Amino acid sequence: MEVFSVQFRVNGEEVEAEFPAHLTLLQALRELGYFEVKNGCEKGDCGSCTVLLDGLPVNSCLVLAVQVQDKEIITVRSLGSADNLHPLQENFIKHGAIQCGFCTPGMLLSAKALLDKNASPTREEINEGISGNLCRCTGYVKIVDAIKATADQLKTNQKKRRH
Amino acid sequence: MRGFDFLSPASLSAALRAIDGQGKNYKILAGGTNLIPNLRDGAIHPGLVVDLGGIKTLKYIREKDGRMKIGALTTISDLMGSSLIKKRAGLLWDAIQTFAGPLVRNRATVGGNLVDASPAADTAVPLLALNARVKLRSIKGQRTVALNNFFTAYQKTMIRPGEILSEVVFPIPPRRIKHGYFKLGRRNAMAISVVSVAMLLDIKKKICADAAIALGSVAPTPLRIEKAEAVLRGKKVDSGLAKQCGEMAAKNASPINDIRASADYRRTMCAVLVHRMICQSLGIEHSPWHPVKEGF
Repeated sequence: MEVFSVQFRVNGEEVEAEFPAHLTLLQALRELGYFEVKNGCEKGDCGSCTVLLDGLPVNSCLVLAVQVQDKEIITVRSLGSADNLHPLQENFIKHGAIQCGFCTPGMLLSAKALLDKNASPTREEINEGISGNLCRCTGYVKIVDAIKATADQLKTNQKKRRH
Repeated sequence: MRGFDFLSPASLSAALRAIDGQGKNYKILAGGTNLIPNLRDGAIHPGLVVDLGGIKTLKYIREKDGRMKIGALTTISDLMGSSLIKKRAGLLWDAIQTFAGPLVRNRATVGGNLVDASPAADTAVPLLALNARVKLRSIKGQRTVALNNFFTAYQKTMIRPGEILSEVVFPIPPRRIKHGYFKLGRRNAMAISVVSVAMLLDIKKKICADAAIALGSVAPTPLRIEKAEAVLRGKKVDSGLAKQCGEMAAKNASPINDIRASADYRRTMCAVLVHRMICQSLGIEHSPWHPVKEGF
């Protein structure tokens, strides 16, 4: 079967690989070892496979790998590390917003994309922002608490810096 | 997923050349939010997939000579971020607020939503009420057809092999025109509509000069309910007339039973929602209406 050579960036690193046309970006990323991109429903319903594609959160199962030539992909791996957590990650832990953890990578990226666009969202705007990401454990309240706390924290930090 | 050939042309003319003479062997990839799951499920087996994602000239929102022109590759998120759509096409703007979720809206396109021709297509219902037309390009030239004629049967359109939908265009409604939109779903996010209603109402000196009412998920295609529009035209609109209009809409719907709702429920909701949206958009006082209790 014909394969296509595709060059793109994942978390700032150049990737060059050969894919058949029918491989989804989700499958391709997992084949390349990016297991933080979770495979849930594979039809765009659950948001587990969320990545940022040129800054926008998308379901990677709804993109073909051959479509990402020259594109920039961010997975949760570049958000923070175990000893240097992103404020969203800190607050997810602090507020108990993680139970089984399967939705967490996607949830964090949708939350990041939301805060990048809207630094002080209301609870309703947060609900809307994560409405493409299913969580079957938490009931969402703690996730929304964690995102709200992060937004408040980032705002206070900004104010402090201004004084 | 079975294998297929893949092309990503840089221009519309290159895309048209690529599909010319391919018969039904190809599929056009726009946002991919429906096409890719369909490929995965084995529901379709094209020999060739042509990705329009690289064609920047099909992504635009423009106002020209009183008309709104939207390039087929414009995503739902592009529309949501457009102050032009918000200010000049409030009905479409209202409707896209409940389109799937943010992840899907970042990929899904207007052209794809229309060509997909689901009876529940969330952009089709407001665009039908707005009297939209779609431009179909082929290697031989182009034709423009009314959206009202575009949908021919369940998931079927007038598009012929070799044609690509390149643009949606509609007259911008004058500011005096009121609009209403409601999507009834099983949940708020990511819902496929059970019934959706879009309407434009032109009231002059308390008399309805013109009305456009479209419904989703109540027939094999999204549809205009002309007989219900006629109930309002030339009359003073009150809650009673809005009920008659709702009943006429329900009579002209042909819903089915499916996993989301029964046909009977959908038909009743046509009446309730048409009545409610007329009253809400015109600021008419109304009490909740239970058509079944009243022997409808």
